[in-house]
Amino acid sequence: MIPVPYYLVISAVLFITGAIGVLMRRNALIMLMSLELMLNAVNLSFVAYARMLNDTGGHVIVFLNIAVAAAEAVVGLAILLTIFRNRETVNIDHLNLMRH
Amino acid sequence: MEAAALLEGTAALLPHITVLVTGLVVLVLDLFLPPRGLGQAGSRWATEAVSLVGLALAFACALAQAGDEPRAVFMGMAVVDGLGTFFNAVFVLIAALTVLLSAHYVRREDIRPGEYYALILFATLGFMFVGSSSDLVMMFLAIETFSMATYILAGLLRDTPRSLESAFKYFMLGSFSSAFFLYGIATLYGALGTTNLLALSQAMSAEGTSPLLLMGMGLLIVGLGFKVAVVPFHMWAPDVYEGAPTAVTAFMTAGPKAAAFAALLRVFAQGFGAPAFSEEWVPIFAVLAALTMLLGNIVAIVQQSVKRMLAYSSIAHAGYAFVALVAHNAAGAGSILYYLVAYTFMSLGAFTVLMIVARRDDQRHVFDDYAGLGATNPALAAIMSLFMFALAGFPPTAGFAGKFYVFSAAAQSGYYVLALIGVLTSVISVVYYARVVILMYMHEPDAEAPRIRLAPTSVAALSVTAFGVLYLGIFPGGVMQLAARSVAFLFPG
Amino acid sequence: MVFFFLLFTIAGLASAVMVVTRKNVMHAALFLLLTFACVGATYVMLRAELLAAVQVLVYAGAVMVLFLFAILLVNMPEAVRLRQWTRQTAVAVVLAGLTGLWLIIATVRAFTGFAAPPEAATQPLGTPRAIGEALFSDYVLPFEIASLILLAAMVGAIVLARETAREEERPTEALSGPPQPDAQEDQQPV
Repeated sequence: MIPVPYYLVISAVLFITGAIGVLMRRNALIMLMSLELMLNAVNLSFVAYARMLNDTGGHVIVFLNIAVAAAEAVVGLAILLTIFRNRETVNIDHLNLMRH
Repeated sequence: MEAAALLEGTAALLPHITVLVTGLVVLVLDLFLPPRGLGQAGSRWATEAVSLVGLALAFACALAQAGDEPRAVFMGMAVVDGLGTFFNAVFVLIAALTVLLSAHYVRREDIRPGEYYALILFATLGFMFVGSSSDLVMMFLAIETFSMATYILAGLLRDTPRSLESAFKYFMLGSFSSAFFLYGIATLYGALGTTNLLALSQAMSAEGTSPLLLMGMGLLIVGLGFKVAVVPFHMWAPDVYEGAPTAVTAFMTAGPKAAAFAALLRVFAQGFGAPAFSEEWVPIFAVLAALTMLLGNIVAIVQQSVKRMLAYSSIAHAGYAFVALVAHNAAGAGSILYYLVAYTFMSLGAFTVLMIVARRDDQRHVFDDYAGLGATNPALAAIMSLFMFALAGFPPTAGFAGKFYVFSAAAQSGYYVLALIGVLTSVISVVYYARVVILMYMHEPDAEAPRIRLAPTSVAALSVTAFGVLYLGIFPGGVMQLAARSVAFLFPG
Repeated sequence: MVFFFLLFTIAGLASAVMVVTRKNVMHAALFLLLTFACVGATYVMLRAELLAAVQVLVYAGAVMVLFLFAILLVNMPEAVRLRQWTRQTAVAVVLAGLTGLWLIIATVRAFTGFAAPPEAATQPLGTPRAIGEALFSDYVLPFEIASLILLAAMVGAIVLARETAREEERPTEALSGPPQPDAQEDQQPV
């Protein structure tokens, strides 16, 4: 039996990988994917804690999170596609009209 | 759930349900009206009228709940208490003012009314649920609701690159911070076995701190810090506020900011209120407040665009309100509520003027566009001056009363340095607010600029906000007492 | 058991790193799919069977398909630069790394001397019945709010991504039909 804290550490590493992806990459699509990684990491955390506490509440929270993450992906991709239609690029370095 | 509990819960959430139904009706309404000719204008008036009627009903429902004993509904997920009711009323007010000021904007920029007002109403619903939540999961979902709607609203001018850029940056950083917030919730869930805020506050006063709880608290600070745009989590705000459609920017400075403070009050003043924890987060908040007040005010001075200046001003004002959080007593929490109401009037009013001066395509936002406004449009200039002085904190405006309450609450709790920083930065802020006034009255207007005509709804919006700013400034006691009563239950004894 | 844990965890972390570092967006998407699958497998190990199924169906299924559509619609001929080491990015990455270290250390410290949970859960944990009972009693209000979020997202996506007014007028030209081909060809110069 693997102790639950190992899963929590995995979740932290996954979370930080996603965070670095959001901060580091210049391609908007990859930024979105990194965001999904972060949310998955948090879900893993919830499931691990639910196992530790023997409480189904954590599972329900993950259930709701998956719905929210899907909605977020939809909105993010809609914004991205609209930008692409307008500017022909999804590289965020080209999206800096307002740097004073 | 048994029927009785379900009915009780539904009755308790009547303001929210009213806003929801209004939103749904507004969304569907313009499907039933013909799109061309008179139908289009008719559908705009119809959606606005329906929105305002629905919001008025929700306001009445919220007022009817004032003075109710705090009680939890829906298995401890939502709660009816003074704080929630006050915020419900404030959010409905913000929505109604936004509908008023957007009326002219929607026509001028040719935005489809149904979805616009529906999104505003859904966002308001999210705000109200943040104020009424007593569980972290509920709060997270409520935050996501209004965030989703606001991301879309920021990008509504689809042909304007700045608007799209604003929507993208807002989305990216908003979702990034939501992930941190969620991770904080997961950690607290692991530490306590529950996400309920009341259980949280009780468990903490019993157990004291533990590394897991502190980690969760830290993550929540990061997550909410982004939402309220305090330094160093503020980087997104100037670009997002500047690029978004001006009516939406007005909404964003009022609604999401107030909702973020509602979340902060619920989570930290209520959830982490016990001394074992407050001695951890209060110093952190103090530092954040100081940095925010300093940076917001200093950077605002060098801005070339009035819109961007107001964005930094919004950051600075969040810093002032943060000072009241640091005070962590009934006076402090009450003054946050008062300050949010005052700031709503000031900010919505100022942005309405911005929207009017910007004219078609929402382009003219640099300081020179305000040159000579005192000569060409004296009424508009006078009202703008009122808002500028209010934001700077001159008596007898609401801005002065708000800052007075906030800084005196901080001084009461012994945070003299913070109060001093607040007063000093307010003095600094006069520099950039006065710049607008000077330009309006002491410079020559641009001779070729077309005359500005004010739509009746804009006049209404400006009148209400100006009246609010003056009334709250001259008679602050009423609202302040209401606010203090609403938060009294947070600080017993 | 340990073997499966190591397999899915290492595969999951490795593919996550791949997602963040690939130049080719399609490759990154496929690695993301692999990450989702590995996380799903981890759910099974944590006795969250229904969630594992939902993870595969919704994340690996619906969300990934959405991403793939978006990748195909966004046609980028130019090579995407992998990183841009501005001072800002470096600072942000360093902060992120420190945060990660803090998270990991805090987690480990919190659980030193922690006893493993019993092998068999005392009550069924991740079954549909248990989740259903919790979802529709304790969490019914969040459930309804989640449906609102989905509605707002749908409305929003349509508002943003639908055709502009100019594009809507073009179909009427198409409907009036193409001009007669024979007449046109007669008029063409030889």
